[in-house]
Amino acid sequence: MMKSVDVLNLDHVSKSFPATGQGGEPIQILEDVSLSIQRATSTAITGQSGSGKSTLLQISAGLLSADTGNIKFEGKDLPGMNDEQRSRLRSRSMGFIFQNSLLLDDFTALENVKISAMIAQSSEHVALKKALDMLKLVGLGDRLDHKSDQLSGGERQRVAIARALVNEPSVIFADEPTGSLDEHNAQLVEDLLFSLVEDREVALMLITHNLNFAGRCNLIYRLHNRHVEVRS
Amino acid sequence: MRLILHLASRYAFSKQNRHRGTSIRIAIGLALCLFAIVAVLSFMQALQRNQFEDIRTFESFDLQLDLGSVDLAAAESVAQKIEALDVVQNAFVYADLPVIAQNSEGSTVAGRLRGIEAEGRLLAQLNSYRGYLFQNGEIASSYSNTRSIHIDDTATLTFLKKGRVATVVPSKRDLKVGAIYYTSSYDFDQSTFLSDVPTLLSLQNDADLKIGVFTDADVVSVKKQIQELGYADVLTWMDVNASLYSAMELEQKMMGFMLFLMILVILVHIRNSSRRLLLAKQSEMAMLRSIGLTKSKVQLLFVLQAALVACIGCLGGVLLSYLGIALYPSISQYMYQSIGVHLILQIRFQELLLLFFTIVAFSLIASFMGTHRILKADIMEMFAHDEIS
Ligand SMILES: Nc1ncnc2c1ncn2[C@@H]1O[C@H](COP(=O)(O)OP(=O)(O)OP(=O)(O)O)[C@@H](O)[C@H]1O
Ligand SMILES: [Mg+2]
Repeated sequence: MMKSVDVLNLDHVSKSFPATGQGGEPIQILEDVSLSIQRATSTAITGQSGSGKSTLLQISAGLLSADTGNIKFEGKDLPGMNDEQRSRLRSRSMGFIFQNSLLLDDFTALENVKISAMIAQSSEHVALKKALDMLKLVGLGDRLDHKSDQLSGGERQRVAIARALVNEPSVIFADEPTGSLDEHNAQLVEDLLFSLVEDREVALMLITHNLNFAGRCNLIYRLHNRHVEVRS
Repeated sequence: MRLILHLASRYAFSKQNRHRGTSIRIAIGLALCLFAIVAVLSFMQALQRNQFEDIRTFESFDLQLDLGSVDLAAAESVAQKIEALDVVQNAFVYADLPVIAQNSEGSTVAGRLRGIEAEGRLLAQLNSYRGYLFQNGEIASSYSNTRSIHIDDTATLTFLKKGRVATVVPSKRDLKVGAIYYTSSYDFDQSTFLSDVPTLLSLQNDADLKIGVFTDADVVSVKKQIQELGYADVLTWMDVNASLYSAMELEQKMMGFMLFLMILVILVHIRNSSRRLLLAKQSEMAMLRSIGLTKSKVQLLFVLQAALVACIGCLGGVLLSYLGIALYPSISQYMYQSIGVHLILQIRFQELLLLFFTIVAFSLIASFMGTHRILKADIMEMFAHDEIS
């Protein structure tokens, strides 16, 4: 057994967005950012709004390409993988909870979760059972057949969480997962995420403005002026 | 794979799909376009068939043979010899003589007198309005000339005869109008008086005798067979009507070109609507990718979806086409009143099939290219660009 395995490694990563409008300079968002995420560890990313937290998370998860720098997932070069390998990782090893919970709008809550399970090669029967269990766990047992636009913002967020967790990923990327939840549900989601870290050795990369929530994490990074610094 | 199929059908037409309306509109658009093309195509073909049909029945026959002889008995035996060919239905003697007919009150019609041993298709489609056709020593005038020439009139025919001094001299003959006939060919009716061959020969005994031939076989091969019998001067209806035939061929090419343009319009429509549909689905695609569907599967999914929409649209078009053809007879009366011809519409199955596959194939290609373009971007970029472009 290896000790303290780095699940994810960012090495001198930079990212800029092309200027909006004409003739402007590209906007540099991240510069020389290095950090690592470990198994069975929760890592919080904090920082002001617009500081690039979501951008950093998306690059870490391979949803956005970096300009320069290396990203390694379980020791393997993430940008260097082919689509097949990366898709497989997304399906089996990663769970995403986006900032503005994004669901498949044409499908019901149950289907959203079920499809995710089926893509990870579960049979339809197993996928259905997993999806049901997961939705009940986030308190949506009575909203199974509601479509995205028939759910409240908080309910959508919880469906997204259920979907992210249904395949028991080894890393969870969560971009303000409790941002639109009431205290009770926020607490529920918080507890759920931390229990996964402790019981299932999941690595959690969490963006949050909530200091209590961040405080529960093993490690806190702060994003400021395009760089990260460790706080704790 | 089952999952992909399921998703594709959901994206295509499911009630839950927000863009179902777009799918349905695309399908209906395809159906109507296909129907329009089939309608134009079959009308065009029917019109041309109709026109040629008349020419081949009344005017020039399928084939004709100029004997250059004036011996009726000899001509009749040649006709029998030709009729003995398996591929020939009818062979009969006829001759044309340009005439001007004048009735007792002085009104005239210029045309020709056709002396003919009417048989087969010609006889079947030759209608007597009044009187009896082909009575010896009488002529039949057409219904379209009844304003000038009436039944039982004595018509004075003026025609040119070879003379002893001058090469030709005008001569006159009075003949009874024993019948009024009509056919479906207005041009033929207007210019033609009919009689039997002996009556025509009694006006001009050195008239050039010809033989008309009806066949269901390919006229060019029949032409060859008749030539093998030793008669070189055979012409097919295409030879005889060469200028008309080539004009019609040109017309056909022009129509082909118009149809090509129509298809082009459809293809552009397919491309645009497929692009619109795909752009609307861009964030769905990003979502599917983020939960682990590979690019190629996302692409397959949306290509399948496009195929489904295109197939349903085209099937609708095919259905509409056959329905239109089936219902046409009940409105053909109105068509007859407005364009004056009875058309029999047909759909050529191969053409329909070709059209079907062209449209479906293009839908697939358009969707393939569209998804390919979209999938080039990073997943997050696909989210960001949603509904903008
Ligand atoms: N596609 C894009 N094109 C141009 N600029 C972008 C793009 N996406 C993000 N940005 C800019 O990058 C900066 C960082 O965005 P990001 O979403 O990472 O911020 P954040 O730290 O998550 O903020 P918040 O706490 O409000 O979610 C912002 O200033 C934003 O305007
Ligand atoms: Mg953010």
